Amino acid sequence: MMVKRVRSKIARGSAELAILSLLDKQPLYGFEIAKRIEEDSGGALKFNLASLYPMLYELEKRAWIKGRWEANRAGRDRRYYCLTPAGKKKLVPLRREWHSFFRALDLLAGVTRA
Amino acid sequence: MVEEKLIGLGLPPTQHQETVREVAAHMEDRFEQGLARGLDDSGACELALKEVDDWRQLSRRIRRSKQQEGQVNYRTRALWLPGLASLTATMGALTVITMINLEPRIYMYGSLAFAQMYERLLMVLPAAGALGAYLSRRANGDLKVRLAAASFPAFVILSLFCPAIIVAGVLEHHLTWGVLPVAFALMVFNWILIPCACLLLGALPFLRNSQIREQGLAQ
Repeated sequence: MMVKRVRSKIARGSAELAILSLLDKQPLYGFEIAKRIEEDSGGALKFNLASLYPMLYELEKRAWIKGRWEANRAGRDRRYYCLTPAGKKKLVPLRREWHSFFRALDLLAGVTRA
Repeated sequence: MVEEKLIGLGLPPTQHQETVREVAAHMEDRFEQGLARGLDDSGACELALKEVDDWRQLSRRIRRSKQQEGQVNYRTRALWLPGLASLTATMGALTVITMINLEPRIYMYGSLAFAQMYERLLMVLPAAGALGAYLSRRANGDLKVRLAAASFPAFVILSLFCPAIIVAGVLEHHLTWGVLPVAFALMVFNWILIPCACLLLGALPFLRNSQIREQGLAQ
């Protein structure tokens, strides 16, 4: 049970970091976010609709991202998300936390040397 | 299809529509991605449908992530609290009127007393209805919810009076079974229909969305 909770927290935290980091570069809509995460992580990270949108709405509720409807290149209306100043501010400690987390794992398990 | 699947979202109408639109757009993109990869229509459709295993769970997760932490849900904000405010105003007015000993006026039709009502209460009711509808509109309640919030006191009185008239009339032998339907009809007319009409009269100005809000949404 405990392991499951920790695993779920790690998955959630990594998903938050992935989304915020992507949106830090440019505004994207949901489908593009899922596609870019899958492509940029070489298929290691995957989001489907059911996992992506609750996460996006959660981040929007915390005011870290903001969505607005705009036409995409094909002229269809899509809800583009961009990072808010609060989200940019949050991204800095989030990156630091994950950096220390991986460094600690590396010290313990030699992850990067494996 | 998405609209049907996400029926239990329980979000305010504008948020509900926006969510359905966004989810449908995502599925449309996945469908087109399938076609671009060389799948036929049914294959692409299957690919899009694979995005969600359990729609009910998705609805729950979306609802949870959209609801404000520590805040009450849409139905409570748009219906129950405004309805309660309207009821409190109505009961407060009725208490004051009975405390200052204003007798109800009785209207006669031949030998039959067909209406017994507190006219002063009826004069106050539009304000109570307006309060309910206004608070419901502020909480993004749609038309039906605003009407229900405004007329809430009438429904409460109905639910209280139905058992009360049976107990007082029949079980305590104040009324016979023959008179009961007439008494009940009079009670509904005097205490439900007319007050309900007064409450809804007050709600009228708040049934349309405010211009400020519409301008805000348009922006």
